[in-house]
Amino acid sequence: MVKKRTIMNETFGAVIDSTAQTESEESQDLDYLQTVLEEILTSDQISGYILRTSTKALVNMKCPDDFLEYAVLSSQAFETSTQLSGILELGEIEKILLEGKETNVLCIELGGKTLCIFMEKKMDPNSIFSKILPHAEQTKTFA
Amino acid sequence: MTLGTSRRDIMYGQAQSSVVDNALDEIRNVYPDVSHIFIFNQDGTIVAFNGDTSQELTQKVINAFQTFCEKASVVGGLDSLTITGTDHQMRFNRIDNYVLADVSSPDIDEKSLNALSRVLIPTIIRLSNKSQTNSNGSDGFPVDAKLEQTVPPEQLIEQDLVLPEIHKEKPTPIQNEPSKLFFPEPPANQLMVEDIHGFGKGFGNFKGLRTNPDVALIDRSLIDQWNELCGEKKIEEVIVEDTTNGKRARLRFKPIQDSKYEGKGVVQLSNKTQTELQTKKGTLILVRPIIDEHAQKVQSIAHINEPDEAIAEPEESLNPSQYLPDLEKAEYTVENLSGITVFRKDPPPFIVRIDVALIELWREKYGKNEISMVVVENPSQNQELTCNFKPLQDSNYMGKQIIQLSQKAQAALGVKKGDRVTIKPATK
Repeated sequence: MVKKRTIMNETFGAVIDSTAQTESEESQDLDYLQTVLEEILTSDQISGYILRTSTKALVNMKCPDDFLEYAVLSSQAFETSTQLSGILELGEIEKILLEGKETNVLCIELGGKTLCIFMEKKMDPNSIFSKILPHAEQTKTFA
Repeated sequence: MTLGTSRRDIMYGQAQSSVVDNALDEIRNVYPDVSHIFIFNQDGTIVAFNGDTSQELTQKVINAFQTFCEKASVVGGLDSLTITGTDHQMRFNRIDNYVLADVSSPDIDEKSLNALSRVLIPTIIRLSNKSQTNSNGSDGFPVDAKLEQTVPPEQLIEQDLVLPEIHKEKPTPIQNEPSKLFFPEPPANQLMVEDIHGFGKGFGNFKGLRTNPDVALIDRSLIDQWNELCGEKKIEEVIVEDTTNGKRARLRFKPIQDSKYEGKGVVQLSNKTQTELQTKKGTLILVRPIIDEHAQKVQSIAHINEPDEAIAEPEESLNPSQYLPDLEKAEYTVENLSGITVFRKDPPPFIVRIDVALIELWREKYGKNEISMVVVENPSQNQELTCNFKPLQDSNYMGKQIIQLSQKAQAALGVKKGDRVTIKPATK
């Protein structure tokens, strides 16, 4: 399995959050999150992840062929959720779990960052979420 | 909630959609944490929704979901989508051709919610479909295409003609079935082959004379276990199988008589059976009892799997006449009888020594006290001699159709060593 790791600048939608975090703080936060994600990615049942910040996206997919489709899906997931939240007053989106026929996708909002983890169906998404959760709480508090 | 004659009512029937609407309202009563719940089909048409949900709002949600679904091909299509917000969570669950959507508190018990969305609602939908199909045919929720296929009238007529024939068959009483259905399969036991040395009582060194080659000797405790397992069913035969070569034989069985083999996990087989199975002493083989009605079935299977010669059919019963002469009049070769009788002063009755097996058979037939003497006849001269009898003692003569007569008796009868004579019991 070929691992492809790409760091790219978001071409649109970039928002500079100057009120809360400095660049160095964000960088430290990102490094810590990345360490957790690398550990998660060691599981054979994890296909990869896409982490978006306000300025860039970190993509790590074991099979990069479907990267674009996965990126569109994860982006659409947050967009639809925000739309539905507006209709049904769900509040701020914390987590989205998408169960496909072949793959499950766990999307998490991390205080300005969005994380989408792609996994096989037999993988328990709650176990992944529990690993990310401390970081999510920390980020929220920090934000 | 019913909104007059809406599109869904036209499509699915007003009464039907009302039933599911009511079911959803009841679910909301049971789960107060569920604020909205509705069902729509794959083309986005609302099928049912609860009272507090407006149709407009529902349609907006459906449109958003449909848009999202178009992007989900990369994961093989969407089964469910759960969006957790700080105030509420929303779930979409695909059920066959429908999608169940609900909005609930994020604190709702997950198990309850799963029971709701994956068990209760699908059951309601399917029951509703079935009920509608039974009553109105196509008026209910959309049904599978195969259910919607109509049977041409001419085929219906043919079916009507055939059905009475089927109904003529007398149904098997149900109470007879359980014993067949739940009767345990005969257990197979792995036992080690041991040579058979004969069986029977009171034959001293002549045990081998009565050995039936188609009998297996099995531990009594194992036989008891089989009997216990099978209750009133009779077990009279076993299938022995050498799994290394697949050879099988069907045999009668008896308990092991020799105590040194009891409880040792052995089965005693005759040389003949061992040859047929192409097995030998010390080999592990499978022994499986044949239980009443299983017998025919097992035999059939054995015949399919193996050539005819693989099954050693047992003899009908232990028939001594197959290896012993006629009880009434048996022909024997004369042999000299040496010993003190030669010097006996007493004249006849002489003594004739005969095979102990023959004596035993006579006793079985006539009773122990009935036969007091035997008549020895010289067929060439029509001479008869009535004698007392005793068992042969010289093992060289046993089982060889030989009788021993003293020289005086031979002279009286007009025979000599090597001549053929007949003997028969003289009953009182």
